[in-house]
Amino acid sequence: MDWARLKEGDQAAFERIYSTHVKLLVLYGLKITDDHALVQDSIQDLFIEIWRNRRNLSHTTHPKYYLFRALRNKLSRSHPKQSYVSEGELLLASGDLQVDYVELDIMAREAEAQHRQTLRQMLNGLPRRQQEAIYLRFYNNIAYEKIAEMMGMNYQSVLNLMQRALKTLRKAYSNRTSRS
Amino acid sequence: MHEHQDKIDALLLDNRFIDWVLNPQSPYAGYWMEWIAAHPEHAAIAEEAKALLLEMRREEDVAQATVSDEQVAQMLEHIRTGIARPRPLRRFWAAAAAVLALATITTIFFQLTGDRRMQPDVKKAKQTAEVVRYNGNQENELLFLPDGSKVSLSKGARISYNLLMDGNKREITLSGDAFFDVAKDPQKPFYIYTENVVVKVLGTSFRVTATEGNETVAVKTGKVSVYLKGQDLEQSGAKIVLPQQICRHVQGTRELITEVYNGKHFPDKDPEALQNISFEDAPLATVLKTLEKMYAVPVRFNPETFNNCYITISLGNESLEEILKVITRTVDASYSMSTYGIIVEGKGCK
Repeated sequence: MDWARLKEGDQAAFERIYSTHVKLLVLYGLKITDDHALVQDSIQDLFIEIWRNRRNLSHTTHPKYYLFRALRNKLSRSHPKQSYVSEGELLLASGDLQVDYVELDIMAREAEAQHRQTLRQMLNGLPRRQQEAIYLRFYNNIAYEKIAEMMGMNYQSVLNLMQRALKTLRKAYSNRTSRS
Repeated sequence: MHEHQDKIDALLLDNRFIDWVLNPQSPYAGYWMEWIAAHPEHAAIAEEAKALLLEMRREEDVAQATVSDEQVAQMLEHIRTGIARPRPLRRFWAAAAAVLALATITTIFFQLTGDRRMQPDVKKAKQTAEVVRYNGNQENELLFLPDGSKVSLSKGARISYNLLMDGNKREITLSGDAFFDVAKDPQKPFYIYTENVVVKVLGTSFRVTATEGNETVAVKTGKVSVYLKGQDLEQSGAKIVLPQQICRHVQGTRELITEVYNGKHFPDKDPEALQNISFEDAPLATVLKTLEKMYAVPVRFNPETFNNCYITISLGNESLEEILKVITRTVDASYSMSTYGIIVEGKGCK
């Protein structure tokens, strides 16, 4: 509803869309890059562009998808060194070997810390794309098919990505619950 | 062992399962309740998958709380400036914004790294995390809510509400069947939302059933008002349901019908008469741990500090806040509530 109002030039509706989504967008951006300033600037630019191009916006009932996707595009464009769209496919092409190393490393560190790792730390230690997929699926209730589309991967690759993330996380989780 | 884990994974890779856990009005609720009922192992797997999922969400809630309102407001200011200014000046603006952004980043950084337990004066957050409680057991399960109300959840029933039930309303979403004994608080009406119906009460006991295609409210004591979601209450008033009556939602016509009811639905024992947990000279840590479980709210405290504190108390009849007041007064401590739960602090006992 606010989206339609925004298209008609209603700035209050525009700001409501901003307020509803901004925190989710900051968190999402931080899954993609650690550069806080870049995330903030990109979100600001994104909203300024939306306002300027409001007449040409396509209709959507889910502004969240639109905003997430647009932010992702922006962040990958301003970081040309790392292409976020192809990174996952690259890892898949290499037979998941790199990712497994990362996980082994995380698990080893975890054991060293004598089960002191919290779920939070484990989440932060996951490869970025795993964090991103978890955030979209578990926090934003976005279907895997849609996530695949947003992350430029195929459906099965997203499931594989998630499976690896879950494997790592469940370890942290069971340590945590068995301690209490 | 591995097989068990694979089954949990399978659920977490299933859109329908996640939707059911996250969305109180999920169209898949019926499907999963049947699935869980089909096999005891299913219930255990679902419970574990759900726990992991909710735990991860809680971590994200914590992360989201680190994005400060000031930062949000500041960004909005930049956007307003940006849209008010003609395009050619944008490069200058971007540079200015970068400097400002840098300043805000420092604040976030501190908030991220600061140990929350070290901040004694955590204020009540505007929006607290949502709690989902689900009964996967065969028997009814008695739950205590932070406001002092009690709910007996039937098998497969699920409620969700915000962690501390703060705000000017008490609101709960229900799917399945539950008996409510609502603590009186006319200042904060208690609302139950099912798929089509809203039940509003001030303080009374009654049963609500919200299974697929069946939404009813049966009253034991007091009175409750029932209306349809989206109903214009100025056009047509809510239905008042009295003891010995049942109000039924008719799906096809979207009507509410009130009938006489013989009251067989109610539990033999009032939740009120059920297990009040009493402690006599018990260590404070034991009492707080029990409190944490009863009300499903994380309670943080330093066990060493309160090592020597013993307390005699009965839990279950007052609201969480009233109980905390009694406890902290007894051991000369203070408490604070936030999105993350409750923090109890003090100097300890001699």
